[in-house]
Amino acid sequence: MTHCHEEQEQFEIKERNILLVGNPNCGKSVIFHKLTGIYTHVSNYPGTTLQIYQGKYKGYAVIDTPGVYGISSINTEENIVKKIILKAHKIINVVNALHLDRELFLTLQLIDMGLPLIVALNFKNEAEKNGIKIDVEELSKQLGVKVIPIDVVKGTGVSEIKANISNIKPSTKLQYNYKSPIVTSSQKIKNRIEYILALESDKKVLKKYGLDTKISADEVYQQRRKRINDVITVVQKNESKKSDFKKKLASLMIHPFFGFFFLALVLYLAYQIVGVFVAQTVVGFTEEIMMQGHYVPYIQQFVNLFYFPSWVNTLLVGEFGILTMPVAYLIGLLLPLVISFYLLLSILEDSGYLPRLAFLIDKWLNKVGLNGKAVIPLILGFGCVTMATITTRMLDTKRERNIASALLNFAVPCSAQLAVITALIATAGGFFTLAFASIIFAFFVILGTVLHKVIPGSSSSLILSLPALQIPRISNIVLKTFVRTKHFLIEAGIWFFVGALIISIFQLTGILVMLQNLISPIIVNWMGLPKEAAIGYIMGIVRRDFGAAGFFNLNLMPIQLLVALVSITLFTPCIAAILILYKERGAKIASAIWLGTIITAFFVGGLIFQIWRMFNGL
Amino acid sequence: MLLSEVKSNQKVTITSIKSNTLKLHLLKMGLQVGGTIKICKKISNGPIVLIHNSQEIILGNENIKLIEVSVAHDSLP
Repeated sequence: MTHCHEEQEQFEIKERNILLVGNPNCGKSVIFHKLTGIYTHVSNYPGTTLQIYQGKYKGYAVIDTPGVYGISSINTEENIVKKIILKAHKIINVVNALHLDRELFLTLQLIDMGLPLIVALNFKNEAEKNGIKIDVEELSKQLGVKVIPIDVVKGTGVSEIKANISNIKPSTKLQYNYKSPIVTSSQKIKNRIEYILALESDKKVLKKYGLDTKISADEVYQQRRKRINDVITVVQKNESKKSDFKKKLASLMIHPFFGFFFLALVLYLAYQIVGVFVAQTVVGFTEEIMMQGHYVPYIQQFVNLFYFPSWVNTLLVGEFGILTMPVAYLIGLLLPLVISFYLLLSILEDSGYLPRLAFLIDKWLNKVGLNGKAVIPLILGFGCVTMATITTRMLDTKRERNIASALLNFAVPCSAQLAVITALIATAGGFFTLAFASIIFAFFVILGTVLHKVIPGSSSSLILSLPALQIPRISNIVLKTFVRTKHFLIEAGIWFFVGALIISIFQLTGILVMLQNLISPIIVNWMGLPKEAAIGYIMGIVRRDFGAAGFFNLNLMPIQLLVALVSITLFTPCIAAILILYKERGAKIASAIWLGTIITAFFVGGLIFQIWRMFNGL
Repeated sequence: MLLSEVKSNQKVTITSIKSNTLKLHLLKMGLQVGGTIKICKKISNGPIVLIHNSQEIILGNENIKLIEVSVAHDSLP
């Protein structure tokens, strides 16, 4: 697996390869899964694949590429996919039958370049349900390549693709001669791919051959578009279909007024499921009955049988013992919440709701230097900030990626942290729950506004294709939740054990008391918390959710809970998130965010307490 | 008139696109000068959702200020 970024210029491509190429959201990743057995996340929004995945099928390297509408040098993704395509041995061009006129632009570009390909025509049945009939045989004749109708949901057509891999060839149609101002001078280019790229104003190729780099690709694109329209006229018939329930619901979701009611309903349902049912009923059973009632006493009794020295007992089953605390937190507290959250997130992703939400809140995100597309990484951040930071790649400019990364790492709690916060803040009552949400939201807005003003440059305006609304597939929801939960358990599990071990050693060696004393002026005097709360922040350096869980047994007053939870939410992101941040945004920005979160957390937390004290005379 | 001035449910024809990058991007997505579109949803001073050949596309406020249109006389499905 390689990240779709600058470093992919060095992406190694084996000689015998099959590339999966297509527009965003056309079903490439499902075919990749069927060919290689490797699962990559599949969702119903454009830009799910942000990494280049490589697997194997019968001696071929199979490469899944991010979705692009063409392979010019307009944006990073297109540039990277272009570089990979230039080394292609065979191409499976996945085409969405619902939007054939859009998808054929890339197909014709590949054909023009003389590349060997077959077309996998996906969603043909779905298109027919929408009144779009495509003559597959005629399409194949028009394009001069094999066209195979497939249905990635049912898995039909994949065996035919497999059977035809050895027959993938360039189009049998005569190469099209474009009329372009640079066509005469570019005729000295013998390589067909470079010739087409030159016609499409690829600056690198134009420079290589000493041609004028200022000519636009406009004319060539218009001619290609005309060719596509001609093909569509011959192969596609449209029948008008009555608006069904799905279309009406999709329309309601993006209604400028009712769309927000729908959003409120989604959030309310999510809160009832995760915040009420799972956080209280399910966690009540797993944490209190299963863990504290059975597992912890049992494991303590078991370890006591061995008569270890007391320090070993402390390390294993003490207050922060590696066999007690991390297991109870992970399995009893976090696992049910994380599973329920990932399930909900997967349903939202697969339904096609997120791009609709992007439309609704685009105007508001513009105010913090982002566009509606940023709602996808921001929502995914509530699942896992680490993964969401990678997802910021779908944003069009570096500026937007920087702003979104900062917002994610400062002010978006991940599912595990949110789970602990939900369980804790519920005990403080409605006022403090509302206060917590309002403070974090206000911080989000202020930080975004400041970054928007301070960071030079401008952000891009939204262009997004809306996918059809669909009923999420249970198999994909379950598989995606399983993969994410497994990833969470492995990543968090390791750090929970490491964290518990470090805290236990600190406790045994007296370092813990020393650290508590060291930061107690901030914790006690500035933030109004008990000295023991320092443990939460020390644990929080490993993971914020681990830190938040550290506040569980402190019997904090509601205002103290508010201070502690706001500050731990704004506190430094988990180690995995920081590492990704360094990789994605570079050392300077990552260091600034890391240091900034620590300072901000203590400052904002303390400020809340001081304001409260001023008005309540504590 | 600009696309930003068009009301919901109106059908318009694109007459010009002022930004070359936007023009190329839209050409790839199937939208071009001369093409007829229908405004499906609009948020005041915000984005629009347009329909073109059964494809729904969201365009942000800055982008729609770069697109000039005229009222269409042909019919859209």
